[in-house]
Amino acid sequence: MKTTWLTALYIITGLATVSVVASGCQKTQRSTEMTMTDSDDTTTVATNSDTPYRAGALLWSQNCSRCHNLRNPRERGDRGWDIIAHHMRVRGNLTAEEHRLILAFLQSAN
Amino acid sequence: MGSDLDDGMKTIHALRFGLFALVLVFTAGPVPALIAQQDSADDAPVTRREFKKFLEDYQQFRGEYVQLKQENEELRKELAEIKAGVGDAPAVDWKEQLDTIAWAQRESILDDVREEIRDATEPWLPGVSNFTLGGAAVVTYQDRDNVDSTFGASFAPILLWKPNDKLLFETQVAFGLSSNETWLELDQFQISYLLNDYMTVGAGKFLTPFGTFWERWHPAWINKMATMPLIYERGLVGATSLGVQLRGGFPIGKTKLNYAAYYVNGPDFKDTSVSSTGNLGFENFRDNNNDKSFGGRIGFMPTPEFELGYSFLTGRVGDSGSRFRGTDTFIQGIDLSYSREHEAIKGRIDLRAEAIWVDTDRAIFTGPFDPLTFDNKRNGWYVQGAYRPTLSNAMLGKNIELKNVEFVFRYDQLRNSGPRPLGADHDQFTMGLDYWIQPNIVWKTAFTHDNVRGDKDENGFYMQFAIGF
Ligand code: HEC
Repeated sequence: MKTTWLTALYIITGLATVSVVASGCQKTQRSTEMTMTDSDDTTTVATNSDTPYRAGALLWSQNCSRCHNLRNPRERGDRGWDIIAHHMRVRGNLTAEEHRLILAFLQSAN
Repeated sequence: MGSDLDDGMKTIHALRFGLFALVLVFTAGPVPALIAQQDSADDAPVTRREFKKFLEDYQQFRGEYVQLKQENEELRKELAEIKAGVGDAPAVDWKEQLDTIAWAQRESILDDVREEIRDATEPWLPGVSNFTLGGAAVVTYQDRDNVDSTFGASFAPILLWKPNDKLLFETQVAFGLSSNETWLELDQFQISYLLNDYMTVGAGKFLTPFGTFWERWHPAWINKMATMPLIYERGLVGATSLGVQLRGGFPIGKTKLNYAAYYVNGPDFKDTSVSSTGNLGFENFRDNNNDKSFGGRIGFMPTPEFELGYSFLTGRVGDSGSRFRGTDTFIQGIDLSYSREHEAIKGRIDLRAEAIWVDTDRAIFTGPFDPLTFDNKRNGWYVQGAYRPTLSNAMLGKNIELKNVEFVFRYDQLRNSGPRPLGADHDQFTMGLDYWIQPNIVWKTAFTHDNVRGDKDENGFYMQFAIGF
């Protein structure tokens, strides 16, 4: 969660800066300029820094919904997920790699 | 906003400069010319034509000067207006932007605070840092033909303790109500140890890794039906086993294989009551013989949402020293499961099927009947389909979201090779409607129609409320 918000903060701050400059130079095109910058920024940030997070999220959605509904990551704290992910690794015959990535995802999404 | 003002200022500066230059040209330009003229021909008189030309120029410049003065005045006014923020359209955009930034910052700060509070308080809650709770609470109402309708309730918390990165203790204690007493049972107790990335060893009383129902779907907050599949409800395979197990999973290219092998006390033989003669019992906590049972399951997952499994369990079931001391059983099963969300049907589809064959050695029973022997085989299967429109936004009334409603159907079949009354054959249909209040809280209703061979049909109505912790 923390990373997501930080990312959002960076994007918004970046956007704000870009628009300040853009509005000074190109008054007429401001609105189009902003939407373009918006989408560009989002994709770069997501692909550059969040790959393990994304892999964890994917494994989580695929594995943790096999036997029961996906439980909300906000349900538990870091310590709680540490114990439950271990429990579910044993129950669901997950590999160490799957366990590690899913746990990392849960601990950053809670 | 600053830059707009700056722009205004720039324009005004430019205009002022232009004006100044013009006045300069207008006043200073002709002067040197005159002086020069004076220099060269001091006394030469200005001709009328020259004077006229000069006058025309002068009037033209003056006109322009007055016009510029006017424009300057207008710009001054405009500037004052801008400064006062009147008619400043882009300002709204900026306010929004600033609000969004402020909001994001607030959220991020709140998140940090939340995290800090959690980190700070977790170790202070007595012993909580290595423990957590799971388990379920269930209330059921059932109304079946030939039986009085009744409510039932049970509460089965699971205590998980993780003393280090490799070890895990699971303990589940169940409290329940039956007839006129409260019962308490140690449902599960297992110590497990992660041997390596792909293998875990466990010991204790664990859910039997045979098929999928006991290990994966039996908790009431997971089971989509208020009832259990017949092959499990009627005890073809027991819920738990006491012993040791080795289990894990590993990838093979893009597919995955998972396995479990166990060595346990195993089932025992029931020959005491008429209705269960020849059946197996699984509460064999102090083994009835020296031979342990051995079993395993192997599951193959070509894709993450699809799994095909094969299970077996074999062992001696007769009490040592009894007539049945040589009696063995061999149980096999296959299971199939598929669960996936599809855009095309706006929801998640969940399909499961399992079949079990029990083959126990022929034995001679005596009891309230003449000595009796039969080919002791029981088998059965079920198929269950569920659909939940998880991707729909429709509302049913004010508060009920269609995406939380799940439709479930199950068909069960059970066959016994023994003569009646040792066991009846069943063909059962169950329809269920669930409402998921949360991913772990569900309200279920189910209706069953059981076609019992050689006997009256039996219908049942069930309601169940379950919470998973
Ligand atoms: C193989 C089936 C299966 C898979 C895969 C699975 N679960 Fe579970 N989960 C269960 C069962 C069964 C229980 C109930 C525990 C019990 O009865 O021992 C459970 C319980 C839970 C609980 C309640 C607390 C507890 O530990 O008992 C949470 C939370 C949970 N699972 C989350 C997850 C997450 C996160 C994942 C993915 C890593 C996951 N599950 C994968 C079967 C599964």
